[in-house]
Formats: sequence, C-alpha cells, structure tokens
Amino acid sequence: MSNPSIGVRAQRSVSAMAAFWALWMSTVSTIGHAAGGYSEDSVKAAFIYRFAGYVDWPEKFPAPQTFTIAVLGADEIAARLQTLTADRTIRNRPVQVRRITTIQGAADAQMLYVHASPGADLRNLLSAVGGQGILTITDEEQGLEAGSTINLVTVDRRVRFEVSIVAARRAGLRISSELLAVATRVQGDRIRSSVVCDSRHIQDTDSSCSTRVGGKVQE
Amino acid sequence: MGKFRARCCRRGWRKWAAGLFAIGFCPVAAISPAMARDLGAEDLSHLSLQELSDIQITSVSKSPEPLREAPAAIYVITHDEIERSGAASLAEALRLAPNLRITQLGSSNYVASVRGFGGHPDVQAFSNKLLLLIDGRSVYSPLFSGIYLDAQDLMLGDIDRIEVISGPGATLWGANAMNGVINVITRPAYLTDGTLVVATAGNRERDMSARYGGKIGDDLAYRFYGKVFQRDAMTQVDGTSAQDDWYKGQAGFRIELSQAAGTVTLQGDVYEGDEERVGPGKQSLSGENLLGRWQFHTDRTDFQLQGYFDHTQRGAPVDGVPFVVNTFDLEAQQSLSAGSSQRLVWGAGARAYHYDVNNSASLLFLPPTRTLQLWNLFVQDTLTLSTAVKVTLGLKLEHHSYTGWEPQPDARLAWQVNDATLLWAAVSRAIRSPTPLDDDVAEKVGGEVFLQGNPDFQSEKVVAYEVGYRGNITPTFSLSVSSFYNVYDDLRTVEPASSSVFLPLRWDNLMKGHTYGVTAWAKWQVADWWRIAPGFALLRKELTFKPGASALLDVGQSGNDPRSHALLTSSMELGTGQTLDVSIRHVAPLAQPALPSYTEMSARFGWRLSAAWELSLAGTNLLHARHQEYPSPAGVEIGRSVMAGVRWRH
Repeated sequence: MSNPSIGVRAQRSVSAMAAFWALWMSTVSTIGHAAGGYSEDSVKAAFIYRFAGYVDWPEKFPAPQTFTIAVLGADEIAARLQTLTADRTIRNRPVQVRRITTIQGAADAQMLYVHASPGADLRNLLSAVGGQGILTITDEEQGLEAGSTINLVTVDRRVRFEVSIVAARRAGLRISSELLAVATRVQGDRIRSSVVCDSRHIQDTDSSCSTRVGGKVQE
Repeated sequence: MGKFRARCCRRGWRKWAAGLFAIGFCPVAAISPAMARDLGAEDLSHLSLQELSDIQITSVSKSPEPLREAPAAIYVITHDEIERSGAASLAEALRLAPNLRITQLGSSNYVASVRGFGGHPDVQAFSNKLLLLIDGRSVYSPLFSGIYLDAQDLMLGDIDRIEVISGPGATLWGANAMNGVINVITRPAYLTDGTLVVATAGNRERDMSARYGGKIGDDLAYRFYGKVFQRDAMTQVDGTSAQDDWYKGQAGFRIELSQAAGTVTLQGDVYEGDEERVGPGKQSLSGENLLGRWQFHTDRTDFQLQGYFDHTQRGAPVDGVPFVVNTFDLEAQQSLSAGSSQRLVWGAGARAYHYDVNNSASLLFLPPTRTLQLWNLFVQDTLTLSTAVKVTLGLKLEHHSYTGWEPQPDARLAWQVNDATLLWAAVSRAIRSPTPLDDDVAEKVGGEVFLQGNPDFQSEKVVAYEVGYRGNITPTFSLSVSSFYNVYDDLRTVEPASSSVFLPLRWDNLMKGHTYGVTAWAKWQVADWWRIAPGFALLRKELTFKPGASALLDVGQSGNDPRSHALLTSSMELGTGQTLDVSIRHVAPLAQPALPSYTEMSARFGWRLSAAWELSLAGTNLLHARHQEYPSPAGVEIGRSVMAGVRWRH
C-alpha cells in the first residue's frame, strides 16, 4: 500500500491527538483542585494593599484626610485595589485609589504603583517623586535599580518582591523587618540600615533598631 | 460528558481547518461553566505577605502589557511560553517567535533566519545575517559567519526571555545583526534559588537537566546547572537512517553579588557533544565560556563593564575541517539622562578572535591560524520631542580586520498616539562583515582548487526602511504589524576567478537588490484561561546581478527562502493545574531547490500535581511521521517526536 496522502495522515494524527485530549478532559472533571491558580493581578493588588501595613510614614509627611494610592499604567490592578479597599482603612484613613496618567498626579499620594512600558525611562519617572514620602512600587525588571522601593517579580508562577532600603531611606520611609524577611532580595545594608525596625514598635532612633536584626527578625 | 466532547470534536475532522476549529473551540463549550470563577471577587488581602508569596498564579491570564516603547519589530518569547511549549532545546524554543524562521536540517542541525537569507545548500547552509547573543555574549561564528545552533543551549528553566528583533540591530549590537538579533536573557541568580530537576524521555530523545541555586547572606546568590541529552538519528527520503544521532552534556553556573551600588555577575558554561555522521568520523563539539559583568549606577547614569572569554571547538568528519576559535571581548557602556528630555547611551568595545584551523586536503584556510580584531565605538541619543514623540539617533563605528572602518547609523521615530497605540518608523544601515570563509578559504576537489576566498571581498550591506504599528486594540487583543523595505548591495556571489578559465571559482560581491515584506502577530486573550496568538511573516525578494557577474548560480544563492511562514499558538489553563498548549506552524514552499510547503504541530499537556511536581506529555512535529524542512542532497526528514516528562522543584 502506498503512503496515505498528507491530508489523510494529518487527519489521523489530529484524531489521535483529539482522542488523547478528550481522555484528559474527562479526567479533568474528576480530579480536585490540586494546583489551581489565582490571577496575577489579584495577588499583586493584595500585595500592594498589604505593603502599607509594613511601612511607616514619618511625621514630617502629614497625611491628608485620605490615604491615596496612585496607580500608573495598570487599570486592572487599580480596579482590583479599588474593590479591595472599598470598606477598609489604611492607617485609620479611608483609601482613595487614583488612576493617574502622568507622574505629577502622584504628588500628594502615599503610595505609587507604576507599571510602565518596557523601555520607558523609569528612572526619570521615579526621580520626579523621590524624597516626598511616597512608597514607590514597580513591576519591572531592574525596578530597584531604577530607584523604586519595592519591586514585584513574577517567578515560577509566584509573585514575589524585592526591597531597596536605600530608596526607602531616600523617600524618607521606614520599612519593617518583617517585610524584609519575606523579600526575595533586599538591596542595601540590612544590618546597618536605619530603616529596619519591627513594625509594631517602630523606633525613632536608628541605633536602637539595628541590634534587633541580624539577617532574621528577632522577636 | 466525555462522550459529548468526543462527538463534538469528531464532526469537524474532514478538513484541517475544521480540525483546528475543533481543538480550539470545543473546549469552550466543554469547560467554560467550570471555569466561570468571578475573578473580580478574588480578594486575597487577608493573606500574609508570606502566604501571598506562596500563592500560585495562573500563567495564561494576564492583564494586557503596557506597550513596549521600543521602535522596532521585537517579539518576546517569555519564560512561561518556553516552559509550556515542551521545547527541549534552545533551537526548539526559538520556534515560538513568529518573526523567526527555524529550519531543522537534521537531528542536530538547525538554521535560524529573519527576513530571508536563510542559507542555500549550494553555497552555505547558514543564515549569515542574524546575530545570536546569550546574556550579552555573541555566539555568531567569526570563522564561518553563521550560528551553530547545536552548540548553543541552556537550562531552559533559567531563561527569563528571548527577544527576537527583526531588522538591523547593528547600532547597539554590531555587525552581522543585519536582518535581526536574537537576545537570550537568563534570570539573575537570586531568582533561581532552590532545586529544579527536569527529565523527559520519548521515542526520539532523552533529556535530563537539573539546577540548584541558593544564597549566601543577603548579597550573594548563585546557581549551578547540568544538562545531558541524547537524540536519535533522523531518516532520509529513501528510508535509510541519516545516521545523525547525537548527544551533548553541558554544565554552567552564575554568581551574583548584588548591592545597592551595583551588581557583579560572573557566569560560565562548558559543553561537549558528539554527532554521528554518514561515513567515517564523528563531528565533535565542545566549548567553554566565562563572562563577567559589572553594573553600577549613580543617580542619573548607569555603567556597565563586561568582559568574556569564549572557546569553541569542533572536530570534523570527512567533509569539514576541525577548528578552534578563542574569543576575548571587553566592552564598556554608559547611559545617562541629560535633563528630562534626553537619554544618551555610549560605549566602546574591543574583541579579538584567535582561530586555528586544522586544514584538510579538501578544505583549507590560508593562513590556518590568525587573530582578527574588532573595535567599536557607539553612541545613541533618545530625544523626547514631546510626551508622545521620541527620536532615537545612533551610530556605531566598527573597525574590522578585513574591511577597516564601517559606519552603521540608525534613526528611529516613535509616536505614542495614545495609551494603546504606538507608531514607529526607522531607517538604518547595517553590514555583514567578511570572515575567513569569504577571504581566505580554498576548497579543493581532486587536488584542484574549486573555490577560493577573495581578499578583496567587501562587506554585504543593507539600508533598511521600516514602519510599524503596535497596539492594544481591546484590553484583551494586542496587535503588532511591521513592514520593511531593505535595499541590499554587495551581496555575496560565486564567480569564476578569471575570465579565461572556469575554475577556480571565488567569492565576489556582485548581487544587489531589495526585499520587502510584512510581519504581524497578535495576542488574543479569549478568556481568562485561554490565549490565542497568531502570527505570520511575508517576504518578497527582488535581487539582480551587478555588471560583470557570471550568474553561474542564479540569485537564489542568496538564500532559499519561503515567501511566507505562519504560526498559531493556543495556550489553555484548564483550571486544576492542567495546561494545554498547541502550536501549529506553516512554511510556504521553497523554490530552488524546490520543497513543498509543510504544516506541523507541537503540543504539550502539563499537569501540576503539587507545587513541587509537574507531569507532562509533549510532542513535536505531530502531524506527519516524517517531513522535510530543507532540501538537502540526502533529503533528511524530521520525524515525529513524543515524550513524557516530569519536573520537580523544591
């Protein structure tokens, strides 16, 4: 018998694939939720919300009536943050999630989440809000290098984050050691840092914090 | 339920398109209800930071990416796409880029090309106009002008992304990035902590790879990996074995010292393999490389200092020559913001290639050993004319051993029309620099010189005009379209060395002309759990001989390229840790020598049993028992490959 035509062979192959696929599909429904997944944006929005609890905005940045989270370039995350914070307060203040299109819109915010275009000049963007008591959160490769305080990284289907103590210091913020303990990377000297304190007892003097941390949080 | 699905899917079998439809759309009906989870209601804010860090996210569903601002036709193959494709090697992973044409010639032999010039069996079965960089290290062969893809591989799980740029990238990456550049970028070591073991076995190949990464203190991160594989021989058209089975072992590391002031990276690889060949002798390949990079920054500037050493060695069977190439490279780069409206990048580099060829009776390089030098200086300025318009002007000056100074300028315009639309245009000049193969070679047949190098061989040149559009048409549908018009001159031809006698032949630069075409791709998030990504590339070549050309081989010698190739991928998240990825590619017929068009399919089903374990069943070239992608004299056919795999991470 001569070789079957390409079309026939293709049909057979596809049939085999389909049979295989149908088999798997029928097993899908019988197997439990072994290793499902949540949407990336939900996890990120939750992180952004939770970060606020591990950062101290010193007195010299008097908070206005509302706690403002500015979001640049991520409408989906802004929407989720909005839902998330609707009935909640951060630092005893109602939360306002503000979608901004230029960095100037973040001027009086407490937190700024930037999802810039790859290739955008993130450093220029972030330097515009440096030193103003704004916790900057990015979602970029080299985000910390560009000057942000917290950078989200997605690795192996998990959202993790890295922290720059140097950038926090520049912004005038203090970051809890609990946050640093979970971070995948901490940039800046953790031990000599003046910003590392236990979140529940944030100290005003630098030296009293440094004895508490030797890499790990000491309760 | 199962029966219903089978019937629904079987109905469409009559036609290939219908089959596609079935694969694509039956599951919508079948699974949508089960998947109907209101993602908006997903509130995870009660979880601790640690718990949030441990949560697994779906990999298909993702909000649309902000537009890439780069004014170039760039396609990015992501880490997830590689992991989910079932690709076992770098060459197979490259098939995921719709703007890249990958041709498999045999079990080990792959050719990558962009916008044509993908090699010709009578001249050189290589594309010599495409550059491949792995973490900033060029693996373009300075001896043969082309990429030995069999020698280039990685622990695929450590790749962060592969950027495939169509069009000249000469200003930033240098000569030979004439039609495009492939940038393979691996993850920093601090993101690859823990153990990863991947093993697959199938009817044609057995692969095993493992990586271990960790940290010492806060600042130092490291990883080590090892990879071994064995691939079986392909079959020739006449049914006999192509006897090209091969194996390779590879190991490597990356260490990073990361501090606020900067990062120091040290990385390296070693590999060794053997490829069987018809007739006596094996082709052996081996190499080592070591790269160091120091990146540091101040408030307004970034510096990068990078150096590497690369040793490449190939032993050869009867039809080739064994050679060794040692490459030393040093480059420095600084980028600085001058005010808010200008960003300047400039740099300089020096490279030395030392090669040593063990000449055979039939293929000689004269001289057989030599050191080539390459110097370069480049500057690129991005001017922000308004919030929406940016102009990038760049110039690279390169000094080559054979041709002296070569300027490669580039001008690009990006117009961000609105948040969802980017229009861009570019004009650039690039070259393919001569190599010892062009200048110094002598090929003998029966003791007589058949083909010889030409000491006056010039660089091949192109001026490329490009325009492109990139946009998020809806939040779930993004599209990229680019079009090019390339004007070539001094393309390589084969000519008689003298007008009086036929032999010997020699290389010359007696072809010119233009090519044009369109490349487009889209990503459509059909549902939270399903994404479809079609793409295609069209190419027309209009080349002519220059006065004095003999037209011994016709203009087809520039490359045996299809007029189009297309790719369609579908990625599904089936909700219980199960993923199904299908990718179908079509390549139009080749003209000279002729080869019919072909359509092939790869698929992978992955099943995450837990955070640590994943099982998979994958196949490549599933539609035919064997198919041919390249009209080589022996007619090697690529066989269907099916494999089962397990992945463990801890």
